Order: sequence, then structure tokens, then C-alpha cells
Amino acid sequence: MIELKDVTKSYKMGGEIIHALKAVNLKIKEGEFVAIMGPSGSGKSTLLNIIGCLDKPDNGDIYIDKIKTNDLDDEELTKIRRNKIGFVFQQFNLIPLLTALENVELPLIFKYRNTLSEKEGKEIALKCLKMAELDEKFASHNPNQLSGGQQQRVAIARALANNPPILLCDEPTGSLDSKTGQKILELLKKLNNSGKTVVVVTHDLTVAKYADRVIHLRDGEIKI
Amino acid sequence: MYLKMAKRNLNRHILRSILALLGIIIGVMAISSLGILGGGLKQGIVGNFEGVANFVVVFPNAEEGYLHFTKKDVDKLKKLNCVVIPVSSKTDVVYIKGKNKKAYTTIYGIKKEDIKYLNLDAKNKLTDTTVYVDSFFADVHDVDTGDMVVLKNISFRVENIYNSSFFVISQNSIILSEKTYKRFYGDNYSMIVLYVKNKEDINKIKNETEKIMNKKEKTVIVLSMDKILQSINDVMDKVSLFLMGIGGISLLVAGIGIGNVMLMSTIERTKEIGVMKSIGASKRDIITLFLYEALILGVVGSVIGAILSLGVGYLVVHYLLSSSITMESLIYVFLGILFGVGTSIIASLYPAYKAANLDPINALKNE
Repeated sequence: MIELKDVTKSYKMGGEIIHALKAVNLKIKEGEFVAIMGPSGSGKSTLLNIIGCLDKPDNGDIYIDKIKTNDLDDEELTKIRRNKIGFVFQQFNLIPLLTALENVELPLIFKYRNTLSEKEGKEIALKCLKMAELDEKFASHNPNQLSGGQQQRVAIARALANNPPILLCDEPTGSLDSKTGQKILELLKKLNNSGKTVVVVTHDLTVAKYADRVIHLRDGEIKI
Repeated sequence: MYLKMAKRNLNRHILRSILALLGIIIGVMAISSLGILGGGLKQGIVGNFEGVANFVVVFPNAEEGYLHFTKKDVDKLKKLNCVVIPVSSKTDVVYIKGKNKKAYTTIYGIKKEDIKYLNLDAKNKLTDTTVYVDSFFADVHDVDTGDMVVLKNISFRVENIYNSSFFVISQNSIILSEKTYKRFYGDNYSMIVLYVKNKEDINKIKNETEKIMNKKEKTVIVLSMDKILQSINDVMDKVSLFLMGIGGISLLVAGIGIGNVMLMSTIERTKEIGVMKSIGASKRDIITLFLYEALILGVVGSVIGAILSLGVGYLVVHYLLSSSITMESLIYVFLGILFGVGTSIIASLYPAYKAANLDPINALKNE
């Protein structure tokens, strides 16, 4: 499902060149639950951004669902993000202007524009909220009226909207208390069991309990 | 959804949006009410001249020593397909009876039956014992219909007050019948007015007049109003354009205001834009979102501005120029709206472009 071959990435920060990733090779199979762990600055966020087609590597090849993404242009990368990948962030990153339901509808609008009726869009969004185990009564709430756990459920529902095969989660439990975090991880596991490939970047050691595989990253290199 | 988001985003900083809106309103108002003012000005001025558009006026060429026309000259022009109106004039002193006042004025002698062609707004019939008085003269010397004026020791009743048409009859003037004029000042014509029924024939009549009168040397100068009217029209159009240009400056300022608001919005929403990009928004989506906001500001501001400018324009045109709003003025309102919406969109192009091209990783890191 996801394959990285000799991927390197470096960037400049304050005049210093930082080698974020050094010849990383990685294969993640369809339906796997993978945790990527490592200290801050180990390159795990860069890795996630590259898998998520937000960033391009300096060298190496990347395949997402058999599509080689490293030489695609901006528009094609946007399409991959839309169709193949659902993002979940530490800060939830919901659009504050939109209700929970509208936040979930947003990726549908980006994908289908006007070809999807409002009714269909709402139905899909409600289904996704249900999959993320958020009570329907919160659908019309604004993000600031929801608790952290509820917001993260909305974010997961949003990631599910276009039914992507891959969920990329950047510290999904980082802003939640351990009990709520555990519930979110249980939800991710459930989604994984239903067929989603889940990649979680985290500090949280409890994630390891849910993951099929833990990849340790240190100084831009994978340590098994 | 874009529209919904755009609306809510404008609501998020309502005061800022209102200020930007105000800029557009004032800009559109300035551009269209100045346009209406220009249009009204033009209509007012051109209207004054419209009454003499049918005239070709023939003057003796004083440079060559010709000072007036004779009966023979008038007869020569009679074969033209137009009404030939010989006009005599002289400056003289007129006494106003009962007020012990004297006034220097231009005295015209015109055939009684010709007066109706001159568009003087004079209804009553001139007789050999009455005079017509120009409204300007009447105002200055406090003369009314029925008053008596004395010319060469003979009293005349003021039969009517007319509005002079500038080009032919000057403002400070009185009109006598040709017969009375001849009795005082003799037989000479200072100009011949040709009334051409059909404006399209004016050039033809002009050329024929030149042919008849200027055979060996240039004895006459032939003028027609249509050229002058046209140049006045041109000048007034330029004045309108200039006025609108001034309005345009305020719209430019409004545009800078909108650009500024949008740019601030871009910076504030950096993270939001990053999120939208990561969940599948294309550059086009982001640009659309920003342009919707600009469009809302532009359309709402322009429409309010247009309505207000119609009000202001009406007041100005009605009370200052005492003419009315024409269809042409509505074009200025339409132009105002067009420029208002256009300015908002142009002003937000750069912020929208900037937002669309944000690097999603940096945008996501932004707090």
C-alpha cells in the first residue's frame, strides 16, 4: 500500500542543513496498523508529510497504492490526498467556521464540487460521524462547543469522508487525556479492522499496544 | 458551501468587513454620483443650446470691411431651402419708466413673423408699439410685463419676457419689431439667421451660403451650432470622465482597503488553509473561497453605493442643476457597480493567489 525506497530529505534551518530522512526504506502493507515512534527531531513528521503528499523528497521513490508520487505535480498530489489519504492531526484542526457536519462535508465538496447533491453529501457525512462514533446530536455543533475527544472524532470522520484506504495520524492522542486518547486509539483500531491502513506518528507508548508493527526512527534512520 | 464559508468568515471579523464595505460604498458612490453630476451638467448646458441647433448664422466679415448686410444680400439667400431671418442690432440707452433708471442694452430689430423661429419662449405677438425684454435684463432692472420702457423719447410697453438663446440673441437685450427698429436706426442688418428645419441639412445650407456670398472675396462668416454643440458635448463628456476619475481614486483606495483585509485574512488563516490543503483542497478551491469573500464585499458594497448615489445624484441634479436624472445617468450607476465589483475582485487576486500557494507544511505548523 505504501512503499518508500531510499527516501532522503534535508532542509535548511537557520543556515544549518538538517538531514531529516537518510535513505529510508519502508513498506506498509494494506490493512496494516503501523506506529512510527521516535524522539522529537527524529524525522517522523517529515516522513508522515512525505507519505501524505504534502512534501516531496529530495531523492528516492514513493509509491502510494501503486502510484509513484514523487514526480507528480501539485494538482495530481492534491488528487492523491483527496482520494487516498485521510489526515488526522494532534490539534484536530477543524475549520472553526463550520459545524461538525460541515467539516466532514468539506472534503466531499473539494472532491465532487457540484456533482454531489447537498442531501447525498449530508448523508455521507452523517455516516462518517457514525463511523467515528460521535452522537448525531453533535452534528450541528461548532468545534468550539465540543470536547477534545469529540473534536478528534469529527476530525476522524472528516478523514473518512472520501473513503480513503489510508489514514495518516500525527500524534492523534497528543492533545487528549489518556482515557480519551485510548478511546480514540480503539476507534482507529476498529477502522483498521474494517480495512483501513493506519499509520500513526506518536510519542505515546500505548499506541504500540494497538499497532501491528512499531517502527522506531532516530536521526532520520529506521532502527528496528 | 464556499459562499457559506465566505459569509461566515466575513462575519467573523464583522467590524473589519464593514470598514472594507464602507470603502467600496463610498468609492462606488463617488464614481456614480459624480458621473450623474457630469451627466446632469451636460444635459443642462446642452439643453441651453439645443434650441439653436437648427440655426446657421451669417455674419458680415468685418476683417474685410463688411459691417452689415443690405436687403439685396437677404434676397440672395432667399432661394435657399430655409427660413431667412434678417436681424438688426445696435447698442443704445433705454430708460425704464417710473424707476428713473437707464440701461445700456443691445436692441434687436426682428420681423414680427420671424420671432417664432428663434426659440425665445415668447408667446405673445410683438407689435410696433411693444417690446420684448430678455429675462436677464428684466431681472437686473426689475422690469415686468406691462411696464413701460422709453427709447428715443417714445414709450413702449413690455409685452413679453424671453429667455435669450445665447448664440443668436445676447442676454442683455430687448427686441423691437423690424419696422420700429428701422424708424430709429435705419435699414441695416448685422446678421442673417437661417432657420433650417432639418438638422441634417445644416451642412448643405452652410456650403450653399458660402457659395452665394463668398464669390470673389470672403464677405461673410458662416457659423452653425451643430459643430459647437458637438464640441460642447465632447467637452462635457470629458468633464464627466474627469469627475468619474476623481471617483475612481476613492474606489482605488477602497480596493487597497479590501486587498489589505484579504491579506490579513490570509495571514490569520494560514493554518486553516494548510488544513484545507491537506484534506484535499486544490489551489482553485482556495482561490474560489477568497474570491467569494471579495465578491460578497464587492456586490453588497456596490449595490448599497449605487442606491445611495442615485439618491445623492437625484438631489444634486434636481436642486443644483434643476434638471432630471436621465437614462444616461443610470449608465454611470451601472458603471459604478461594475467598477466596484471589479475593484474588489482585482484587489483580492493577490491575497487569494498567495493563500493558494501557501506551503501546506509551513501552513500547518503555523499557530
